[in-house]
Amino acid sequence: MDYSTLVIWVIALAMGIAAYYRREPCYREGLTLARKQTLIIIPRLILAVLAAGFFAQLIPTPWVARWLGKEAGLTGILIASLVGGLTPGGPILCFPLIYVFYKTGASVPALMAFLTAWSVLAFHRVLTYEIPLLGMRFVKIRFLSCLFLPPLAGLLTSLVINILHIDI
Amino acid sequence: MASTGEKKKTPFRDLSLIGFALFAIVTAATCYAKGGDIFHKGWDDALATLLQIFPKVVGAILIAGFVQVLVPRQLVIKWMGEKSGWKGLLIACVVGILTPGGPMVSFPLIAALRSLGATVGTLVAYLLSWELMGIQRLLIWDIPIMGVKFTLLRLSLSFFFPLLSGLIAQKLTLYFADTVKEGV
Repeated sequence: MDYSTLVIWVIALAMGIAAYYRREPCYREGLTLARKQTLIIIPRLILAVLAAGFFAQLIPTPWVARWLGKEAGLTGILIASLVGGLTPGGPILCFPLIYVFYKTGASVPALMAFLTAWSVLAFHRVLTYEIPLLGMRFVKIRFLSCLFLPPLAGLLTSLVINILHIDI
Repeated sequence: MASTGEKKKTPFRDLSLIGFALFAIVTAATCYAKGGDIFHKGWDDALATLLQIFPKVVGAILIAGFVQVLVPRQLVIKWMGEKSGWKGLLIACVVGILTPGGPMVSFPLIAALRSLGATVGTLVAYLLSWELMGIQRLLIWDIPIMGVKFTLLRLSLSFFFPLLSGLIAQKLTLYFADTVKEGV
């Protein structure tokens, strides 16, 4: 068990205690929510990680390195932004996929752009939630106001890494 | 409310589980066809990854469950609906981080905020803050899979994004006000 696992469990315990000692105890409700989430997430996570493990063996590594690796530079960041924005599905699919790219040689700035694009552009979420619930005008404004964020995140990342020489 | 919502979701949920299973089977079979050692390498990698992230994800799911019962939604709506300008943007960012759950939770909240008169800029800031830094996502996915260092770097870069986009959205609202006659 490593450090971050320990921190997570300490926080979970503390919050459980807080919920237990609330004037209106709500910890049972919290546990029920967590159990429901576990039943949804865990089977999918196991399958997604398995798929990602096998998928990583099938992706031609030179291809990833060429288009998303260090050498790809700005092009890599832009490609990652585009692919990330178009990647459908929730985090259960996205994170194992990013992990595969990481393992097969994608650069940290490209990964950052990919993750940011998947988070903020989220084409699937625009279609399923935003247009029906919030209308086209809102979606237009929101899309235009955050279109530049993924490449910016990628560029800032490479800047920070180059200046501070940190190893991630 | 919860029961009807769940009934609606069930087919999709099962579909997504089948989708993941199919994806796993197809990739596994392809690896196997390419050679036993490739299959074993993929299997070992997947198992190592699972062992590494499993305890974190389970702990994080617990936290997410407790956050949902400890942070009352009504209070959040009251807080953000009334404020605007810089203060509204900042509050929107903080609330976005603290909103637990997936789009099933955050989008009804956005709709409620809009009906209470929150500006487009505030809503964009809230949405981006939740999408980039939502606590549940950070705990369950970012930290277990991408690691603490990567997540911290991403957070420090992302911190100003919701504010920035919120301000831009504020300006764009003025521009779009004349061209689109549709209520936001």
